[in-house]
Amino acid sequence: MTKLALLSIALATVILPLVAATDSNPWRGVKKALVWVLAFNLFFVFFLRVVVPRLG
Amino acid sequence: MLRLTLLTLSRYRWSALAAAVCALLVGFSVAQVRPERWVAWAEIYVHEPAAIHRLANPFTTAPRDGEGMKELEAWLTSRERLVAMVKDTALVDRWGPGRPRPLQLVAALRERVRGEVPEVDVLDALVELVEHRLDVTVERQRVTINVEWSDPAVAQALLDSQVKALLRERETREVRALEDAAAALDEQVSGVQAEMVNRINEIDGRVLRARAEGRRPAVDAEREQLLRDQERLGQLLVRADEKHISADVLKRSNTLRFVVVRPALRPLQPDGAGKNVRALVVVLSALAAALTTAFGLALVSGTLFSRATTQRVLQLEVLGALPGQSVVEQPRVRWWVWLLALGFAALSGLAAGMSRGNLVQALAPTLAAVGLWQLWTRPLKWPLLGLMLLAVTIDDPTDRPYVGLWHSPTWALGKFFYTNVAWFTGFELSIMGLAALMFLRRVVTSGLSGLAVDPTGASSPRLLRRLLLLSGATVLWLVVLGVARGGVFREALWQFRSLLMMPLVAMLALHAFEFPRDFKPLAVVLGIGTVVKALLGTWFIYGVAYPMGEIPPHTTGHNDTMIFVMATVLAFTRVWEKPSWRSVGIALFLVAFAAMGMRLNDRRIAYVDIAIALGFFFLISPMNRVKRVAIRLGVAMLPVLLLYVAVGWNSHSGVFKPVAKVRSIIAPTEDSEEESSNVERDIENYNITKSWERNMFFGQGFGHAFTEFTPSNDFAQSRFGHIGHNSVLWLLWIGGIVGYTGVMLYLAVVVFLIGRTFQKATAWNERVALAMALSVILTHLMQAFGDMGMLSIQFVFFVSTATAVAGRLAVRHKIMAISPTEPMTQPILYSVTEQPRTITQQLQVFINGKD
Repeated sequence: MTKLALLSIALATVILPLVAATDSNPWRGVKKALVWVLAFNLFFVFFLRVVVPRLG
Repeated sequence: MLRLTLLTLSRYRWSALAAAVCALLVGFSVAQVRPERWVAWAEIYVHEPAAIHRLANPFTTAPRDGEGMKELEAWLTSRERLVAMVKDTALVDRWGPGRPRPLQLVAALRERVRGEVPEVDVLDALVELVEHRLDVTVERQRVTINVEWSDPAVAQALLDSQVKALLRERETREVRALEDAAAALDEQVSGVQAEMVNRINEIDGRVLRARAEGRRPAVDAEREQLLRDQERLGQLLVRADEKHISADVLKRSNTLRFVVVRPALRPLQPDGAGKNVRALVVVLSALAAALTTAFGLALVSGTLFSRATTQRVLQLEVLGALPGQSVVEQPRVRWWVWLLALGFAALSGLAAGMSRGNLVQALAPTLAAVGLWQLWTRPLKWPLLGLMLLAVTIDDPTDRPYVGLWHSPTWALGKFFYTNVAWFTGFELSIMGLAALMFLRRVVTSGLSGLAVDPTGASSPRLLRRLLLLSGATVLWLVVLGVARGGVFREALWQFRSLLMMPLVAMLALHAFEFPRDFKPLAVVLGIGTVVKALLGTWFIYGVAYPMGEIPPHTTGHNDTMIFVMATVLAFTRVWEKPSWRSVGIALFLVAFAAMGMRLNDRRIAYVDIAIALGFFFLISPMNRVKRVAIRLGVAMLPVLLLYVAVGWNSHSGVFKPVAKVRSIIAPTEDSEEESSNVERDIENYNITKSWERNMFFGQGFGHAFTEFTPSNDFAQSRFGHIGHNSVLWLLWIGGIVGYTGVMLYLAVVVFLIGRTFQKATAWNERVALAMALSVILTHLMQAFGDMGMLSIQFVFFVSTATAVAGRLAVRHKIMAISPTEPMTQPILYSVTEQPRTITQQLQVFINGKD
């Protein structure tokens, strides 16, 4: 479980832009991709600091 | 055309003659002045007389053939040995008078100005020189020692010192160690014996006193201690005897262990070809210099055009050429061009004089000039493809290919391209050279679009180029930050080099390639790499390792996983996108080699990479009849699959081997090799994450080592904390979340462009190229997470090509242009040929079975 949690940052780099690519407006899509990846990376810090230690 | 070319060249005959004379003069003068090089070599066969060991001491393990050979090589080239060589041969005294006259004069002059050089400095300089001139090669049980020197007697003396040291090696090292151990045991024996004598004397005294007093002596405790001492003494005597015997056997079998195949003889002839051949080479070099000068002057003056250049500039087909004196008036050539031509001729002469009859070395300046001209006039994609071909075929010596048991024929090339040549590796220097070429060509040909040899127009969306620059800039910032915080630049260099190369090669690839046109040559490069690596691995296993009695854990290096994975993905995606017999044939060919390569290389992560890459491809590919059937089949087979996995989970039968492989990845059995490897990785991940917690936002910067909070057996493997097996966590620790995002953000845009272009591209080769690009990114991230995937130049080439595919095809399909298309609310699954559908709609179609 911990490994999967750590892997999530690598998978997010692929999954989030792929989902954003389906937006009808390309520029809105690319903005979404960048913002989602940035937000996920920030969330990852919190996740690693708070959640992962509790997973053991 | 040839006649016209010859006519044009004849205008520069006097210049050519001047160049030839200059090259001849310089060449012959240098050949006369240059001191000769004498090469002395010896060969020693190392064999363990196992029978003698077993007969003499059957209680200890006899050493095996080939054991400790690598240590032998390291010892022969160690500083300790180099210093001994210099001292054995009194090189400090002999070196000065043997040097060439001009160098002696320079040394004398320097001594006058700066004073006498201290002997320690001379010794250091000589040790360094000997290190360069000494070559020790160990191949299986054969040790070859080469020494080159300008004096044959010194060359022989240096070699003799090494051979004698090797013959004494066992006596001086192993025997001494055994004798020391035996002496220590002997001392213990003496100590115990002395204790026992004292104890016996004491018991005797007590018994006598007790008898005199008429009572029973109380010596039971002493007797028991005496018995224990006796037992201990026996053990010590056995151990000491074993050590004595072993030392004796080693000493006596020393002559049997080393068989001198070729002794240290004095070389009779200097190295290189004879005098006549040398003269001929100088003449040939002068002729080549003359011809190159004439060509160069004709090209620079603009009187010589190739058919291709003419067609490109005029944008017209060349039907023929008119010979004649006055086709073009001979223009004046500037003075500095003449000077350059003369310099080139002198350089050719210098190379010929220095070459000692080696034609390739003598022609090096001419070949370099022709190579540079070719690079300048040909599209960038060819040298880039050449580098990629090298990256997928040659071995990386730093990756410990073939477990160090064998050097493949690509070893020498690998050493040049993968290890430091001048601060940087051969690959890095080539990349920097190509980047400089691209920049220069852009500057020179700007405004002259007809002269452009690379694809013109926008190569990629501007955002992607900016994010690539951001990636490079972030790496540089992290270098500055790390070094400013006390990091070691030398370590930082190994850490950041691949990450810095990534944006550079991506820019080059974006500039050089055009898709789908260049997809085919890239696929051919991948195919060649797969075949070469699989064949090398197969030969190593069956031709080298098994005959030696070795069962190696892997064949080629870690990073070759990417080659096999990509070849497999290419095979499947091509058949999927263009179902034809030709595609099936290509797929069978590729998969056969890739499967063999993966099986022998035995990297579990390869199977995970393939599964994830094909899974993502399946997910984003449009719904069609085959996909629908595949999904239905998958759902129908799910219970059978689950049953198969459940039954085979604890089975060792060959039928359940795939289940065993899956288990070794996700839940390895206790005490297995996989479990131990996983535990080590978990410890390392823990250490990196704990180190990262010190500065989670901005990181440490390059040049630092993570802290070993929990002791790990793999700490040495990670260069004592400077490199992490998990490159993702490692980069997070180095750059913090800010640095990590800066370095990796371009990948998000690359994936975005792939996802978007995939919806528009209809040509099968474009779709396969996009699927491959996505697979490269996924595999790169998986390898980065699993096994140092960010530190390999192979990944740099793969990811850069994926970036080029995404960027180029996005521009081709005007992906970033806003078009009034139907809004797509949640279509991860969609169709190119049919109307886009939402997942809900697709599921309805799937459940109802109707289109």
